[in-house]
Amino acid sequence: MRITGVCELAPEQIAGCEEPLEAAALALVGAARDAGLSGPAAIDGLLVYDSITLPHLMAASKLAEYLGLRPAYASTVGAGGASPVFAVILAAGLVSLGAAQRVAVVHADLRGGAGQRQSVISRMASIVGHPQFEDPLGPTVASLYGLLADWLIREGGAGPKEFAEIAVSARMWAAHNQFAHRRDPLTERDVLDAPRIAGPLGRHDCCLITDMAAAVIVSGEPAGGGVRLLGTGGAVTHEEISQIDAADPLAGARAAAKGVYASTGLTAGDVDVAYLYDSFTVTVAMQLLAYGLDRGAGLAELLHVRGTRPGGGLPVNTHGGLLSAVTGGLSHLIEAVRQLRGQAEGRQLEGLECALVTGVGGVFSHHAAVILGA
Amino acid sequence: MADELPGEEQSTALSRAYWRGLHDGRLVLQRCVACRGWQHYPRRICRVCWGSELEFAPVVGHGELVAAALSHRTPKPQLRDRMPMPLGLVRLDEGPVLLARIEPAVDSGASVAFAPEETLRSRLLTFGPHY
Repeated sequence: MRITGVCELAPEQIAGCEEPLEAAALALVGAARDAGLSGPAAIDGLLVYDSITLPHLMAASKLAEYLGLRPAYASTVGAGGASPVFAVILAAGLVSLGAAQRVAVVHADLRGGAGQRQSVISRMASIVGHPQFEDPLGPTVASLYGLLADWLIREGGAGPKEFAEIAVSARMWAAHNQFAHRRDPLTERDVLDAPRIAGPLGRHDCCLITDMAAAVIVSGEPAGGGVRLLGTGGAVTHEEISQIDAADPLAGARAAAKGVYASTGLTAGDVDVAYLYDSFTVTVAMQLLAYGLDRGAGLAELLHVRGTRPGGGLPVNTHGGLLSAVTGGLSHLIEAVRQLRGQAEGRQLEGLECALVTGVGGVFSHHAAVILGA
Repeated sequence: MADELPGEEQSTALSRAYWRGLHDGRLVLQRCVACRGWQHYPRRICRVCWGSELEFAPVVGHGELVAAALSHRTPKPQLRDRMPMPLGLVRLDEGPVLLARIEPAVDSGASVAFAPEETLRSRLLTFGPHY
């Protein structure tokens, strides 16, 4: 099982699109071309993570129709931020069954325009909070992750400097990515002094809200340049924050970690580079612990001694992630593929054998993980 | 109802006992008749044993503030002049976890108690320090 093609539209390509559907179509065609495929007959399976700003009841069918595809299987995937990684797992399942040969996973949205950002923040907040028991308090998604950040600090797992280092590290990687939306230098002081959004989280602890369009092709064909899907993990523990296991908020991510390591026969120590869903800095902090990437030494040691920055012992989100590069978890998968293929240009890592890629939906609710191999 | 609390307009037959309780200054949650476990929000089925006979009863209203965060922003225009608002995750002694306003604000780890008067005054579910 392989990812045989990837495409992430450049900001100037997306700028020409007036609807998410247009951008989704361009991304799919780009990924198919990257896989050496051309024409509507090439794709027989389609999984779409739908736009938030302009959703469609049958987004995958719509995209198939738009591009003249006649896929055997097409559907939307609704697992929040876990959707891209989860969709790749589903695609691999379709291919394994022999139900489809080449499945496209697509996500495009136009969230970065004037007025769109606030509407996306409001819509996300109303999606993740119970309408009777949580939403009336007016939390943003950041408020809910701010609670998790407070929990992690009180447990001794991290402090503000660890969160800040995650933001700084992402920005240092983004400086080497020409597609990244934020490439200006960012210091620990900048992160700590920025206006607070919720609890310990300030402005630089929150992901960007940008336009985005990306696609990958999953196939069983041993096409040149493809990277192998070595194994998968997943866990769904709750949806709303009040339903989280308050005694152990890391339980879901730890279960996904256990799954992905068991299915690949690898351990945390084998992970050469990690692409961790970074809706907030705390999302990364919690996953670094849950996936055992701190090797039991704690976040302070991992972040300040081993390092996740360029040149560090455990590179994390080498494109800049959601914190500094672009919205959407497909960017993590695509960067992992670029690195494993040796196509990451000025930020190429040497001697890579495998990459861990995760997605997180809801309020640390839905976890999906894959390990990709060169 | 003219004095509906925010959120109550979304209430269903299943959650009416909770809202009626709140108006009476009590925290009324759902309990499974078979396994005696509490749950919140109210459901048709017990999430622990799948029992389908469920009742409503007042909880004591004491718990631990598992996490706290001062929320500086809100998408709700009617709450903007009340920012920043201390929010917390409260784990009740009976088990369920609630998202609530914490007034006055205290650090996580503190013992907190349901504050009925402040809840009705502020019109938002509120817990305060429990001494």
